[in-house]
Order: sequence, then C-alpha cells, then structure tokens
Amino acid sequence: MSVALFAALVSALPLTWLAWRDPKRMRVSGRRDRAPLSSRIRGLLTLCVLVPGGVLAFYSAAAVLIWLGAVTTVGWAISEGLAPRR
Amino acid sequence: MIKLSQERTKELLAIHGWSGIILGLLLYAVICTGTIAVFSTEIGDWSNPLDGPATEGLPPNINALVQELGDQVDPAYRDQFFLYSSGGGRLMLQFEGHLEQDGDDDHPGAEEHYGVLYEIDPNTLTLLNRTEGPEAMLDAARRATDALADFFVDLHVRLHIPNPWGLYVTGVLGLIMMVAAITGFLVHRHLIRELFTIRRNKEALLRSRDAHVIAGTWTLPFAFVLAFTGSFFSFATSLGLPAMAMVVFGGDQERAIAEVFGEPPATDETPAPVANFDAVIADATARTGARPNFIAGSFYGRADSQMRAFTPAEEGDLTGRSPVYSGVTGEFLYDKPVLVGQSPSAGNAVAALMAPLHFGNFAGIVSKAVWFALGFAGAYVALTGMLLWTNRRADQRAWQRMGRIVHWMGYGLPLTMAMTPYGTFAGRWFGWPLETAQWTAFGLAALAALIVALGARTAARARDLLVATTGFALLGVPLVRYATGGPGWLGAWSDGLMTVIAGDLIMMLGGVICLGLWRFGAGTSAEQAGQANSRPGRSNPQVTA
Repeated sequence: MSVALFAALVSALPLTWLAWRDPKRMRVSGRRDRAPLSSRIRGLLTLCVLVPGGVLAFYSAAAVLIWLGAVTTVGWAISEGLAPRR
Repeated sequence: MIKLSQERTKELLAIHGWSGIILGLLLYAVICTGTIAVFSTEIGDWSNPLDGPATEGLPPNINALVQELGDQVDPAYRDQFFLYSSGGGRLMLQFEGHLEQDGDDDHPGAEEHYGVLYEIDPNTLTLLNRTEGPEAMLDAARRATDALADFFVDLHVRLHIPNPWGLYVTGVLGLIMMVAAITGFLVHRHLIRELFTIRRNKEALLRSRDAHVIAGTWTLPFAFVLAFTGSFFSFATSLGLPAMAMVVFGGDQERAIAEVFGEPPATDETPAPVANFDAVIADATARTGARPNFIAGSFYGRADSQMRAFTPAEEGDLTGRSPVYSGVTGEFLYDKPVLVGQSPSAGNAVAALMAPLHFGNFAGIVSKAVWFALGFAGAYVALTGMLLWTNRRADQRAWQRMGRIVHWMGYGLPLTMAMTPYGTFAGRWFGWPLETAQWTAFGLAALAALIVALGARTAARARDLLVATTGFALLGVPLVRYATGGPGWLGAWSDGLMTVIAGDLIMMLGGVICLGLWRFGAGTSAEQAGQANSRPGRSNPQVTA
C-alpha cells in the first residue's frame, strides 16, 4: 500500500501550495508580500490534489481510502503548520 | 456552503453544542481508546511477547499438535472449535460445548458453555497453558494473554459496561457523533473558503474556534464514517438482530440467526476422522491469496463437522474471504460470504465493508497508521469542541466547573491510558489478577488527574501538570516493561521481536512530545481562551459559529 502513501505525498505538494497562497489565509495573516492565487490556478491545483486519488481508483478501493485518509490529515496538518504565529 | 437562516443556524449550533457537551466526555473516551485500539494486535505483541516473532496468520505445521490436543477433549465439549492467534502470536485452540446444569423434568437445568482452551507457542509448538471450565473462565484465560489490548478494546467497545448496555451506550455515542458531524457541516458557512484559515494571531476564542472547525472540516467525511460504522457494530447484535427476529421471524432468534448466518449442516453424530489443518490452511491460502488468521469449526471428530477459514484482505482489497471445508476430509465445500447469507449479495457486500472502514486494518500497518491519525484528529475535534463550548460560558460558575471536568477527561484520560500498562506489567510480574491490577493503575491515575484538574490554581496549570505527567509516564513504560521480565532491546533484536522495540520507541516518542508540549507548547487555543475569558462578564462578541 506504499503506492497510496506515495499518491498522498504527490497530492500534498499542490495542497501545500494551495494553502501557502490561499487568499483568506494570507489576508488574516497580514501577508501582503505575495499575491494570492487566482481562482483559476486554485482550481487547477485542486485538480492536481485529486488526480492521484482518481488514478488510484483504477488500482484499488483500499488504496483510495488510505490516500483519502492521509490527504485529509495532511491537509489539517498543513493548515495548522501554516497558521500565523501569535 | 448551505445557506441557512440565522434562526436555523442558531438552532443547529445549539444541537451541535449541546449534543456534544452532554455526551462529549464519554464520546471523547470512546474515540481516544478507539484510536489506540487500532493497534490492538501490535499492543498484544509488544506487551506480552514470546521468544520469537509473531507470524502473519496461523502458523505452519500445527496439524499433529492440534489433533493430539483435540483428541484429549471430552467429546461433549467439541460442539465448536476455534483456532486463532492472540497476544505475542500465541496460537489459541478452543473447544466449547454445553454443560447441562442440574434440574428436574419440570424445571430442566440451564445450559452453559463449557470447554477447554489451549495456549500454544507457535514457534516451538509447545503447550504453554491449558484451561478447562465454563465460558467465563476460558474468556479470562484468553484475555490474560492479550490483557492490555483487551482493556483498551473493551473500553472502546462498551466502556467496560456489561452487555448489552455498554453497546447501547457506545451506539448512542456514535449517533451523537453523527449528529455533531452533520450539524457542524451545516452551520459552517465557509467550508471551502476557510479550509486553511486558523487565526492564531487573533483573539483566544477565535483561535480556538478555528482550531476546532478546521480539524473538524478536514476530517468530516471520516468522522461520519467512523461514527456510522461504530454505531452499526454496537447496535447490530445488541439491538438489530433481536429487533429483526421480532419483526420478521416473530421473535424466533434462532431462525433469524440461521437466515442471516446460514443453516447448520444436517446432524450426523457418527464418529469420524478430523481433516488435516495444515492442508486446509494451505488450500485457503492458495485459494484466497492470504494466509488464514482464524478457523472456526463445528462438531470436531463427527461426520457432520465443518470448518471455515477466515483470511484477511488480499493486497488491494478491503475485505477477506471465508472458504468452508469438510471437517472430515478437508475438502473445499464453498466460499461463504464473510458476514451474512449463504451467497454473495449486496447486503453482505455493504455489511462486510463496515469492519475495514471502522478498524482500518485492511492494509496492515499503513492503513492502521492512517486510521490512527484520523482517530487522533477526531479526539482533537471532540476535545477542542468541549473546551470551546465551556470557555464561551466561562463567566458562569457552573460552566467553569464543567471546564475543569473537560480538562480532567481531556488531559487526564491520556494519563490513565499511559498508566494502564504499569498495572498490566506489575500484575503479570507479581501474579495479581490482571484486570484488578489494570483497574487499580487506571483508577489511581484517574483519581490523581481529577484532584489536579479540580485543585489546580488555573485550568492551564492543570493541563500543564497532566500533560507533563503523561510524558513522564510514557517514558517510564519501557523501563517498567523491562523491569517486570520483558525482553531488553538486544534480546528482542536477536529474537526478531521488532514490535517490542518499535513499541518502546513509540512510547518514548509520545513521552517526549508530551514533555515538549508541556515545556514549549501553549496548549490548545480553547484552553487559552479559558484563561482570557475567566473573569465573569467578559465575553467576545466577535466569535460566531
């Protein structure tokens, strides 16, 4: 099932980018040094996040479940990790 | 996401909060113990190892010993037999029959299960222990080999409340979790837009609200799935089957069971030889692609004997298979659906999915690790939700007290769970009754945590003390394991007991993380909110759902 973890890792990259340049996150963090991602780029990145899961669907349901569980917990971890400091 | 009127949002938020706070403490306990119970097999192998590594599935070359032991069992107690692995990979061979108690013609004696349980070292194929007696005694002997894992599993499954009441309670808790997940989803208006927004640089209550909402949002689908499947397991046998028997079969539970699980074969009490277990295991392995980890059979040594091998999910699958064999010749008879019915059906397919979705054990350590993370997130959501709810009302004395209780459960439960191995190891070393020793350690830790939670000057101080104590307790677990006769790391390495070393390292890592949180961390945002909002009358109007 390492293929599922690899797919989750692949999904984590665009997910991190999405979070890093997320408009609302940047606004509440007071980050004005970079422009937030446009909605088109965000849509594209979202697709990139989901594609590995879609590919896994042709492999096995177990792999999809592992990928989904890993991506959701990684997404939470990214949100926590990128939260502005006090 | 879903547009609701302000009034409706308030109602749903009230349902979300009150359902969570009323049963949230118990729900948190069920989630925490469930998170640990994901690794119940590994906990058993770590806490009570043999001199060699536990094998995947049933060990090879067991036929001669199983038949030799089976022949020693009184034929009256061979109605059912089971072959399975327990803590440390011990091979357990169990025979059960019915013992009729004294009675007369008008008042026939009640029947109780009675049997023999053999505990076998699968590496040397030597008999470690033999227990004969009623079902409760066999149960106690079986639990003794897997005491630590069983303690957590029982706490998760029924909160150690006797059946069926414990199952009812956890079933209701599952429903409450579903309600919380659905209402939480409905009241959160900016589900996608705020997916990465945790305002840790803002007011304390806002921070805590974000921490709760974001963790809940990310893990929402799995929270729902885990709650639904958990409720299913609690209610299926305690309520579902009797209710179905009542409605469909006029209260005839035996008929209902036969319909759901299949009719037993025609009775034939003629003595007959017993099938070769090694051959059955080999055939099941070849047929399903995975080595069986459980065999259940009926009428050992009789012509109508059958045995059913259960195999785990093959690589890529979610569910295993269960071929049925003749208990006399070992001939393959048919492939039985794992859960219900005699032939493949949509109902069985759906029901069979419940176990992998709930236990996360369908792909070994990888899926278990992911399910552990999901369980951890669920516990975090439950705890931050309760802290948020009580801290928002911290200007009222009753809610301040409730806040302390939430601290007791939230930070005290991990401590009590970390102390339970102390009781287990000490009990095994000194020969005390294991369950008593476990409850003593667990109870003393719970009492100490309660004193700290209620007596500390501030809630933050209570949290710090409990987290730090949990850290030290976790660091001490490997030492206590070793001091009470467990293998050292060198011995474990040479015996191939990697689970022992890995378990110790995980305990130590958990301890270091707790001490780090105590020393450098600032606790949850909700806890901070409690500090900021501790004076009566002070509230934060900016915080909304």
